[in-house]
Amino acid sequence: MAENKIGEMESRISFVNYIGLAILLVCYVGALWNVYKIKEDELILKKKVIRLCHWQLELGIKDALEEMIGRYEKTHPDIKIIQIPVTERAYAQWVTTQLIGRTAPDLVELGFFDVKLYLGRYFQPITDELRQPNPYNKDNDFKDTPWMDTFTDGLQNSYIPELLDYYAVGFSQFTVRIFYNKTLMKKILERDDPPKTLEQLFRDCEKIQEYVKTKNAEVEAFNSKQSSKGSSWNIFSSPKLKSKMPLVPIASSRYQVGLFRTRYAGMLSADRCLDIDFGCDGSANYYDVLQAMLSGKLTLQDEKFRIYNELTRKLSSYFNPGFMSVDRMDAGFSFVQGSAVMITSGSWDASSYIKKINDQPFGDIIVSVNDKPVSNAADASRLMIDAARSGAKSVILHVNREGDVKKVTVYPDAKGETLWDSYGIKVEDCADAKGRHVPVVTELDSVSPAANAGMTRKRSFDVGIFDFPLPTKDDPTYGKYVVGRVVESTDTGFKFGITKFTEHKAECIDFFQFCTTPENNQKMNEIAQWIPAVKGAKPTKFLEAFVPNFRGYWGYLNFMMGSKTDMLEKQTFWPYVSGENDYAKYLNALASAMPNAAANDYIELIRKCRESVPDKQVFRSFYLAQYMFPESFVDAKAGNAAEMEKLAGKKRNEAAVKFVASWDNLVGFALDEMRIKAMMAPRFKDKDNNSFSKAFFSEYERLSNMSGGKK
Amino acid sequence: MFRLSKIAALSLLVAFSFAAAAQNKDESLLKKGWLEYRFHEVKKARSYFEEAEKKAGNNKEELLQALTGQAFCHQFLMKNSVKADNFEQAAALYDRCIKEAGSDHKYILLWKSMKAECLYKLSVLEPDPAKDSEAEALWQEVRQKDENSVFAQDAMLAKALLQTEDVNDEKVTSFCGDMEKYLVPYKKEGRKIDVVNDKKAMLAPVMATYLYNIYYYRNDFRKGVDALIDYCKFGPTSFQYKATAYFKVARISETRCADNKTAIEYYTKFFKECGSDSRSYYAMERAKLLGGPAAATADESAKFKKEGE
Repeated sequence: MAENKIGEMESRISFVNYIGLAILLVCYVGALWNVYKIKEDELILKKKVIRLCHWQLELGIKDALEEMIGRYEKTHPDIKIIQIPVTERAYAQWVTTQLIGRTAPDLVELGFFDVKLYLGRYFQPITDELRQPNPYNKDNDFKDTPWMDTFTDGLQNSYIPELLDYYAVGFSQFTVRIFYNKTLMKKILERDDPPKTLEQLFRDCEKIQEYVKTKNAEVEAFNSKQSSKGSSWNIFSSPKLKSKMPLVPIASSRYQVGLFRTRYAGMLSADRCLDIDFGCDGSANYYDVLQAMLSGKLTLQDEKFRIYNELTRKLSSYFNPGFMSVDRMDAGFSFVQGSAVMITSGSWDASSYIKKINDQPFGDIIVSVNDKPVSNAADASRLMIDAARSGAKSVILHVNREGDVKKVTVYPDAKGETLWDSYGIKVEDCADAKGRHVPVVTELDSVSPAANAGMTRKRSFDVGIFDFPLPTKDDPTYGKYVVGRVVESTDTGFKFGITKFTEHKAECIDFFQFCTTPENNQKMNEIAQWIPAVKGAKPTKFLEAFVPNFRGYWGYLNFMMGSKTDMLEKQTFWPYVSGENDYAKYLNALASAMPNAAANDYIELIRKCRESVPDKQVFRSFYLAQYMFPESFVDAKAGNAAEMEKLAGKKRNEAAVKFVASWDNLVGFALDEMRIKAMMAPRFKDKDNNSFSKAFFSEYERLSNMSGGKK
Repeated sequence: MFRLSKIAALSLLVAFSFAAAAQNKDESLLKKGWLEYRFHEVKKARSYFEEAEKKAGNNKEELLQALTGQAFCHQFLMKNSVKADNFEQAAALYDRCIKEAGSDHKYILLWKSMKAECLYKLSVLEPDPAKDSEAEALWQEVRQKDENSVFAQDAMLAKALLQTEDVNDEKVTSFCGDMEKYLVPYKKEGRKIDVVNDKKAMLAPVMATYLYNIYYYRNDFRKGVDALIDYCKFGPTSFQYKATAYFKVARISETRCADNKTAIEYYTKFFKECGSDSRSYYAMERAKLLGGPAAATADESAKFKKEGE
């Protein structure tokens, strides 16, 4: 017996071993299959594989790219395009590792990493291709138009002056607007159009706060009544209490504060940048700001600086409490949940917001009341009120809840005169997914017969979009400071570059060209719910509100003179905007640390001027070499001597153009230090001009001495 | 088992070496060197050029190119890590080029001016008047031999940039004088320079930029704006540079020279030619305010509307 048992055990063990082996084998075969599938296109089917990486995990973007890839592969069966989405948190590290390891995908979305540095080292210029017409436009108006001119902004921001070339092709444009909950707006403000002016925006926010206050006072009164009832009559169960309304006028986080601040700062102070713009190029650079402060032309007490900061702080009083510690995603979540009437964000968030809002419960659709079918809110309300008034103990409702018809028994309060008093609900006609108007429970009292019966209310809502409203000229506080709208001649976004490691540059260009015909760019952005970047491609109706504004001003007054002053400004601004400090304290904090930060920044600025020159000299030497030895720069293998000579001639001509451009660029950078010093010379002669200049020069001398007298 | 894997690894290594060698033959070493130079890969570029030098044999042109490549690596590609030793090595390599090429070679002026740059840099890093004088002599020689050559223009600008520290320096005034003189015929013509075919005027736009920078920061706004207008006529090298140059001409004329006529002209040019720039609407408004032609502004309003669409 004992031997038998041992034998049985041994056979069981060997059987278990086989299972282990079998699992190992399955895993191995699975891994082989996986490798085979990945390499199938490249090695077996001999396709040219193009890999494309990006960080756009927002809704619809992957689908939009997939649609383009699908269409492209259909007409180009020898090419396989694989998209690699990478989370934005890890994107910079991932791309950097791949680029350094020379294993980067063929196409890389540009962003999160030091784009200018990486472009020169790891990406291929595409200037020549952009100067030729896009062959996919052969049947439309852009037949003879250079490819770059078919983009709304002429792709001007894809040109990197330091590198003398165009490096990227983008597919979309982005702008920032304010999203609002039309349903709540209508309920609280009795209108669903957005505020037209800044004064109206403030008034609307105040009314919303007033509404919430009233509602919450009612809740408090109810709860205290319930509590007193509970203590005297009901000792076994706690009384049902209502929750306060968490609604705020504007959902926000630090991210949104930045959007509001820069936009209103531009509207109110863009003209000050021109006042202090020494170089007359239209922008207030770091050294323009410093020069203006040292000369006394600009002070921290500037009215325009005060007014836009005060405006931002006033706006922040309408934000959710604790907005400083909330991140951008949480603010968005709060808006889509209906806990805020407005939020500001970019067109990149539009489709995600809409999807999430539409995914909210639609609410109970009332199908019948006491078995009598109803098709509109008026009928449903009338039947329910009649039933309650007739003294019925219970009312049977059939409701459609997310596609399922459910029977609900409600015990109405006979004393009630209205649907709200008797049942604790409001019913309205709303358009369902098919566009039909149906009676839906839009409001539900949390302590009511309907709530007791488990009814649910509509949580999805209609969304509207509007541009940041301007203060009117007769606004008593802001009117006299208004400059105008902020211009949005935007940079083409969602940009991709071609890495130097690709073996399929021509195919990558071809894919870009395919995606940037008016028709395809429109289709792609229609799916992504973004704004097209190509002329002739129209945005969807919903995104029309995001179309960039070309009439307006740029820049805004600030005291940034480099990284230290930038950091100082941020450190002192947040306690002010959050209400921790008042404006006087904010200014004091800025003023006390500004001379040191500005002196540090000035030293850094001069250092950077010097350090940037050798890089530009590399380009000068490179194009000089190409001009001298063009045959060593010919890409393709020439068939014969004549062809080689022709190609070399082309390369030499190309080099001549770029050699001049490299010089133009080099002069700009090489004379930077001289320009700044020339600009500052009168200030160095008048160090005691004002309290800031005194403190600045004292810090500057101290820091210069510490660094060995290098100025 | 172990022996088998060793054999396999060795075979693979051998196979890879053959593949690599085959690849090396496919593309010229010089081409590879310049490709790496393009991507700022100094070590790789230099090693390709060194190898090319070894393999150049009797091919003098390839040897000269390989030596130039190495010299450029030392002089330019070391960027902020450059040391006196690099300039010395570069100067020695240029010397070799000069000797190997012979005095009639088409690039002799380039090597001489580059050697001058290295010597000047050395004289700054380790103060040495002899090197400074030698550099000056070489620059002088380049200028005298063929003032209109691309390399002489390059040398004129290189020397000016290397020696421009203080805007009011006498040396800087003399550079401006040289450039003004050089530009006389082209300023008279006031035409766009064809940089490919018009070799004598190839770097004229850059000289105009230099002059603008000096005059403007000497607070000689009139001369500054005139130099910038020359630059605009010769042909800015990119859209951004063109937009900024037009805008500057207009703003300086308006705010510093009280010359509304030029301001209107350049604000108008700006919004006509640089419509996608963010300053375009401002330029249009400004031209209108200064009394620019009403008809043009109406056209432009339509353009803004179109762009907005």
